[in-house]
Amino acid sequence: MKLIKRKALKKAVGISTASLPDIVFILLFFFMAVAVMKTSDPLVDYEVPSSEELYRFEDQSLLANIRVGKDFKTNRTIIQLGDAIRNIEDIPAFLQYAQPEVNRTGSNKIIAFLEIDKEIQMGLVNRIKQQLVSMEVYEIALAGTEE
Amino acid sequence: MADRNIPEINAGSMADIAFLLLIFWLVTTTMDKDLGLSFRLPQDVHPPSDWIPPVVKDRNVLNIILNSNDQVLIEKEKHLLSDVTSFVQDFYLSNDDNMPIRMRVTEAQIADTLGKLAALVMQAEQNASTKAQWYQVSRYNSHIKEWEAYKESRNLLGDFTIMSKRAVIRFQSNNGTSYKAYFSVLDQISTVLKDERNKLAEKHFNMTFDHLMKLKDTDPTVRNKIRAIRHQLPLKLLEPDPNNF
Repeated sequence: MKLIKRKALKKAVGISTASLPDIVFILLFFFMAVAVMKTSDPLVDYEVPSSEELYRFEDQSLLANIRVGKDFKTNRTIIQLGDAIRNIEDIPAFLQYAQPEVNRTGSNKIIAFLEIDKEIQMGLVNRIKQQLVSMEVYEIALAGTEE
Repeated sequence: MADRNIPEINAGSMADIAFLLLIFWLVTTTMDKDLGLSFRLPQDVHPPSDWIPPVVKDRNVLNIILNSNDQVLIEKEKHLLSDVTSFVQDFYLSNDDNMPIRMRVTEAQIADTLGKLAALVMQAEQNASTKAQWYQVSRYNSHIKEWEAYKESRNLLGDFTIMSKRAVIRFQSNNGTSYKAYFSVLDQISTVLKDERNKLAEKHFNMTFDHLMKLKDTDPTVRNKIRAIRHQLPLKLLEPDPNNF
């Protein structure tokens, strides 16, 4: 009896949480290494075509994002340049704006990263290409997803 | 006094701070990878109006046409979209009569061609008076530059085969073609090329072409290797603008 009584009186041993911050910091550093900053949120509804052999573009600062897809509400075809919905005629100005960002990294080769919905017709894509050539942006990337 | 303990700092809230930071990073970053096909658009060139482009032999051209219903015509015959791969493979590798003319780059061949081109430039420069003739001279000069580069590639690869300068994949799409079909054709072309380049690089340099491309910025000797592979397997893609017909 005496023995049991003594045990009950003992306080529960607390688990040390001193190493918890370390664990969370490791998680944090992992994410910092793996993830990249978001450039812009998609404002259009699009689904890029799929392919098995795609090139991975590591340096996001070189990319000028051009998204072509449908408006979420009206289903109209719209173009997103960077952070905003714009017209096709605004592409030159957009590229000019994107250029100095690129120069800071040492390379002046901007890559037009075209995220185009599967169902878009080529007429529009060709017009975008003409705009790119007119601004002497020759490097393009056609976005795709891996299957 | 001497045995007074230093009070412990409570580190319990440290975890909360770290969690806050972690959540901030989770919200502001993305794990999306930017995947895509890389291409170069052709530059706007304006040859003089009186310049007559050389005639390109039929066998040097692989004709792919996509109409507005996404139907495919390859070399004037109806095919499936997925057939592009085998045609492109033949275009790059086959030695058949109807495939592009190939030439072996040997030391003698380089010397011979450079000699001929130098003579052509001399002759053309003497007679050049019109814009078109001067344009032709500049074209000869660019050929000379290219053959000079072949010399270096030959040192790396040994004797190698090149395709005719005029060999080209002519991919004609229409304004009504869907992007999906267009992408599929480009994807097949670039996949074939990537695979063949990888094989070639593996054979000569014991590493894939993709790997060479990754080393490009750190190792300057790699650039010559990349160029050598490209000499043998160039991306020859011509996309006529559908609006200029």
